[in-house]
Amino acid sequence: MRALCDLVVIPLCMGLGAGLCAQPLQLTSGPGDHTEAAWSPDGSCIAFQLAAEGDHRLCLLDVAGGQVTVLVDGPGHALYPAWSPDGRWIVYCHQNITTTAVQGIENGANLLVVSAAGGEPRRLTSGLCRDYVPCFSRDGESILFSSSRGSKQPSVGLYSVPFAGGEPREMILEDSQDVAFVEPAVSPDGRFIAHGFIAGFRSNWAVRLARATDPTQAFSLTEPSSSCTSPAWSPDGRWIACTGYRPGDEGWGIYVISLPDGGMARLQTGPGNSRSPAWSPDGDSLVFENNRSGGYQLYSMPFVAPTIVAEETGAEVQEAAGAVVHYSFARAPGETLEDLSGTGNAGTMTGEPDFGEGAVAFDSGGSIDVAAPRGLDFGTGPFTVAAEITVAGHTETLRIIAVAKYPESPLGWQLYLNEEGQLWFNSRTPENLYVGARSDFRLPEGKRLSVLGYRDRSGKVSLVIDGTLQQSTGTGAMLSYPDAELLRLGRQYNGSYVAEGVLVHEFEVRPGVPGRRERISRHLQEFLNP
Amino acid sequence: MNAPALFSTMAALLVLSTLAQAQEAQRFEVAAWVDHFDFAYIPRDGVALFDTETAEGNSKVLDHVQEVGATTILWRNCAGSTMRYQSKVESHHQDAPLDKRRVPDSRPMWGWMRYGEAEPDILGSAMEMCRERGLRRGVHWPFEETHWAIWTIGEWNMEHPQFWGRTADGQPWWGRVSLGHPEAVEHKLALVDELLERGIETLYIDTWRNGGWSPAYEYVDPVVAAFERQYGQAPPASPADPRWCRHVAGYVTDFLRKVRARLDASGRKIDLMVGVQDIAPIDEEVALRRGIDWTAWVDEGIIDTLVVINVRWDAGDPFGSTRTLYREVLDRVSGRCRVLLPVQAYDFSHLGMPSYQKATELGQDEVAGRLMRMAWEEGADGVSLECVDYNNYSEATRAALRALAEGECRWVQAN
Repeated sequence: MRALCDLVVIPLCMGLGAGLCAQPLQLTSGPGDHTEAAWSPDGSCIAFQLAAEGDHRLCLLDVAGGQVTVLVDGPGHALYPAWSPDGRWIVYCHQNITTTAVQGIENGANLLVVSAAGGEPRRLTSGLCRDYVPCFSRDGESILFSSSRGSKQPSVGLYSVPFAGGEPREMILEDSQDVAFVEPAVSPDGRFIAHGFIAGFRSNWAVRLARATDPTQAFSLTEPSSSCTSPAWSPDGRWIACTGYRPGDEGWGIYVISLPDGGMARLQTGPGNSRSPAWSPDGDSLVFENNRSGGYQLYSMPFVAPTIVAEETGAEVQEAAGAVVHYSFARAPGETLEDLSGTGNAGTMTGEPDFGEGAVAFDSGGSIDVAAPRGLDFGTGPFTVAAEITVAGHTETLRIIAVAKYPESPLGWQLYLNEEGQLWFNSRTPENLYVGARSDFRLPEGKRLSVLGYRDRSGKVSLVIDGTLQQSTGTGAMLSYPDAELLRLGRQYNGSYVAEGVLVHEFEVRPGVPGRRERISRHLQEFLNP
Repeated sequence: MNAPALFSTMAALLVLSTLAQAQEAQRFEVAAWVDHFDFAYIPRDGVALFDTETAEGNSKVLDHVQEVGATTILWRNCAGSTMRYQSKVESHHQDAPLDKRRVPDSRPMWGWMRYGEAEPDILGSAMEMCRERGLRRGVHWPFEETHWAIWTIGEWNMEHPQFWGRTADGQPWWGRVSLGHPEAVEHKLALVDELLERGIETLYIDTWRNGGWSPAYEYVDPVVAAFERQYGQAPPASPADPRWCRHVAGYVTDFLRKVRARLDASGRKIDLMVGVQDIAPIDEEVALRRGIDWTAWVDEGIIDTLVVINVRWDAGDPFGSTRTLYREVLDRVSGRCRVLLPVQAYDFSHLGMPSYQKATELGQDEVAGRLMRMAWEEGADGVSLECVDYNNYSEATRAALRALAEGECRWVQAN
């Protein structure tokens, strides 16, 4: 290991890690991009990668003294350093290709391990694939990483490999075009893996939480209207920092997501792009890369927990409003169905809907009707339809769960399952044209789901299932809703399209739309503490 | 030889030379689109036929391409926003995982090409080879061709989310940056400078492969604000709205003006070619729905050459309807710029030769010959061959096209 001479190091202020520096403090300066910082477990050192002369080398920044030394030099690219929990080792990705593809390439980008004190690296993985963005498990026994190994499509899965060496094991892979699980980060208690996720090139990156024991069980912390990557857990497990962008931002920034409520806020890191946050071991500071000076340099700033008040932007501002219809089927009703909202929209039974097991079923062709319901005159304003449902079984027919009929628009808004078993929520344009949002998937059978369809004040129609905003949305739904003629659960207003095989546990309609935190908070808590 | 005879001979030679030059200027152009990446993995007995990371390998690519009688090479410089030469202002397709935001191309050969590091510079050496062979040298620049993979999304896009395209419902998309942002336009022009440095004579911009000029992604602040200033109301939610499409098309036209100026500022005569696909009867404004107002480019004299990628011919009368549309385009252009008509091997819109073959039950060589001859008969300046990948044009087709290019169709028809 040698001292780096061409890098100007700016001494760290005494307050680093102590919360005394109000503004981000520049840690490094000099030629090349300084990126991918990783704080050592004892807090004494920051590893990072430095792009110079066409290669990437790994460097160590001594936090107290400010000296920078080269840990891994070229040729080739040494990338994404990650510390072992005991601080003795650094795992990284290495790529050095010197021939053309036709001439033959033995290894692609693979994982190597090097002592933090320097020395010869040890190869951990091999093969013509891309193994990258590694991290250690909490016990230090294994290394999680992203890889294209096993992919026939352009896709990236999560894998693990024993630190002692051995064959990589697939943790999760969806080998479809542009589906990727990247940058795994293990929670302090080891129960969860936060990672970046994308599914399709038309999508944006999202940060997801996955169960460590079964990464297929995942919860998306961010939504399609933003692009978020590079999650990092705070040492106390209460925050996840990430790189993020939302429309209206000047560029990339550092966002923090609070757990377990899912509130999200952008930190004030000053001008330029800020990316790839890493926490100090005491959780008092964040280090990140920023390009305000041209190339990327490392900066740090004290972490002060932000007060997350109104994080939503634009048309999705939360609008608190009480329900105008609220039915619970926890108990079988009497002759009429009580409206718990207090609006007076008691439901009447048409035919014989079946009550039992905390739900209503409509297989017999019955329905719940409210003639001339109150409070559904939304005008052009926002409104939300929420339900707790279970699909007992799929059919190959259209099934109307709820519909509101208006004088000029008998299909004013609807919540329904299509022939493929996907859930739709629709509103309409001023010309009475259909505008809908669809679930990303065929609803699973036998699982109780919380579904929520809404039209916001811009006329955008969205659908949320168990706290996850679905990709498909509709626009232009600016129909002005007058007083409704009928609200019906269980079939179409004219009696067709019976909701066979669908159980409804709860149903609610209210003006306004929920904010992001309201949408996800309960579901996130359930995911974290099942 | 006495003095008068010598004078007469010299005068005759001068006239012949002038005539030859005049004829040379009107050579019927056979413009071959070349995507050397598509030659990268043609295995024969376990060995790849072309090593497209080397000058030698690309020389063999050109050998194959020239079998169609090509007079012009339109060499592909990029995949989407990732470059296939030593670009200083953009990233390269092999950069994954150097950039963790990119999902790598996992294919065994294509995924490991390093055109950004190859020596000599792929694009520069290809242009030089064209010069040595007497071929008109051009670049096919389908920027932001991001309609099929994340690895084609370039670093500049990734670094500038504030310039990303946005849909009517506010969803940003990193696959495109909006030409409504001056910074995005400047970046594209910096790429034009890089292409100029590599000796191009023709810059061919393909408006089909851009994944981005669709008005659906132009709901960005400056474009929306300009619409509101002009019309006094918010833009329509439907990206197919004619007013919105025309509004967006203005940004594309303005961009081409800037490209034109950049080419002119080089001090060299650089042709600006622009390709438009799916040309239907002009009054249907099909192209406009993609933000393309090609008639404005012609009227204003922005472009030197209009490349018709394909036309919406009628399967009931394949060649007759094709001829009608060719005539309509040529009449509309009316000699104000050059026009290349298609002999298209690709069939992504079901308007290329495979569809003609299906409709007519003719062989590819026969279809190609008829289309080329038709273009020549109607007075086009040449044909555009998309794309001359390995054996996309069969051996018989290559021979047929070459025979026409060097024989019957050698010179542009005088009007």
